[in-house]
Amino acid sequence: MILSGRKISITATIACILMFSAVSAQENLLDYDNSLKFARYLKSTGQYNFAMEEFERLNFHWPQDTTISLELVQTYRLNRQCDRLDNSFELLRNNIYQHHSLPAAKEYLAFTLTCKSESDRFFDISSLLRPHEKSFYDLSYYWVTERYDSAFVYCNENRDLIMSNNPGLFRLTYNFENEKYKSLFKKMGRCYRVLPLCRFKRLCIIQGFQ
Amino acid sequence: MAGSSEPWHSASILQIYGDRPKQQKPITPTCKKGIRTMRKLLYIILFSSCLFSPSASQDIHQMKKFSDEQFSMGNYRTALKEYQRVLFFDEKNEYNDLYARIASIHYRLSDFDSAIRYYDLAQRIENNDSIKFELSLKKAMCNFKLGNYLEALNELYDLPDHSSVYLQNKRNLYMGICHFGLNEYDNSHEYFSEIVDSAGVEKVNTLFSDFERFNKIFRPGKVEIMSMFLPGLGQIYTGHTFNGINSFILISGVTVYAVITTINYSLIDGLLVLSSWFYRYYSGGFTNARNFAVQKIEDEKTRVYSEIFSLIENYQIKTLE
Repeated sequence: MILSGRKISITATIACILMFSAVSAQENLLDYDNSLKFARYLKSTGQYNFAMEEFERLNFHWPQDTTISLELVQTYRLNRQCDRLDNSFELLRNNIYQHHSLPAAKEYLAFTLTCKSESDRFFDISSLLRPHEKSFYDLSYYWVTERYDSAFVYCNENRDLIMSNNPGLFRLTYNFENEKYKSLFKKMGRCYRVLPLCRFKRLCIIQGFQ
Repeated sequence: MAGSSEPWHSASILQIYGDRPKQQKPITPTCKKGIRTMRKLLYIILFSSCLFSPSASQDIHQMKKFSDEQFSMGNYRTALKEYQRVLFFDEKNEYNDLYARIASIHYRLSDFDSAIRYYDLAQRIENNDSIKFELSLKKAMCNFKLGNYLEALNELYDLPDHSSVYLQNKRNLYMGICHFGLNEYDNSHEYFSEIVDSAGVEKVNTLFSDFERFNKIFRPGKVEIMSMFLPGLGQIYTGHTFNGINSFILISGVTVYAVITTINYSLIDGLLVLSSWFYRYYSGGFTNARNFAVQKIEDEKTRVYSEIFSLIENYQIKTLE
């Protein structure tokens, strides 16, 4: 009796192992890893609408996963879904304020800049960044929201920081400001490129001698 | 009961996993009953887990089936996404035919650039010559839709001669379309004539000769000169009578006004009055006349194009019958 019982048990075990191996050989394409891989593929091929759907599905199943929420917001930004800006903040809120995630903060700031949105929380979030990053985002904010006077003032206040880390943006801000004070004749003739005096004056302004 | 069940429990586990218990213990009827019950339970658990796990997971074949269903239902967007998923995870290259399917979805969604890209991929991995030929024709069709007749022509010139009459006719048809789109009517005429029978050829000849005559009658340059000689004449000639009369009255009025000014004041005053107004209405008039002629030829081209197509269609139906 014991022997026959043992035979049956061995047969059953083998059968079950075979069945389990068959089942495990089937790859679930909708599981976490595969879905994430596919969503990233869609994003990398520029199919942002499909990528958004995929990341939203992932976010629904794994709402606590910070990688997914970050990539979802990134996809919103790449697809210029500015109507999702507030929703994006909700998605990244914990990530930014509780985990102090710099990528999440930068992503939200970048999304705000993409949408040219005048958000109250922009400077609040940018203050979490390192100084040179903060200065870049803050100055960019003034630029995209067309507050050129504020941009110039900010550039002056943080001259060293911006000049050392973002010289291009620094020059752009100063050149733009200088345009205002040029006479029509100078603008038409672009004299600052020809006359040494004008070049000298511009240099003085940039160097902060005036 | 609990005390009695303790010894057989561990023994039965060892039995199931094939280990011989070192010390044989006496088996009571209660133990036997317990073993049977437990074995039954184990079977149920194992089989049910085997049965239900596949239904919970979505493997590549199931995903393909789902995508096919979406495609047949006309849900092209969903089908497109899921077909891409299948291709993305298809490591064994079992579903290479999906490239063409994805291309056709892009075509249906009017995304012709993507359709061309996928037809190109499908063509590269296809081994069958006839299917390769068909895929090239489909690429050419996408180029027609984009108005890239030269690209389409380039694609068609690359095609080798095919033994199948059907494919050869299809190629000639596409060549005809290309040349027609490029306003190369002689070449187009030649290719279209190769598709139809002798009766059809006569009709094609008539259509093309009529179209050629029409082109001569309404040659834009000629119509423009007509309006230069007599303002409004070109417009009236192309059938835009009101526009022609309007142009004639305006320019005549400006001329009369300039003459009156010249008589009353001086020639310079007259010329000054005339110059700006006259130039505005005169040049505008003959440019309009030219545009009307171009439009008229385009309309006729569309008409001839559709007539040729219905001719070819009738011939195809006749051949099939």
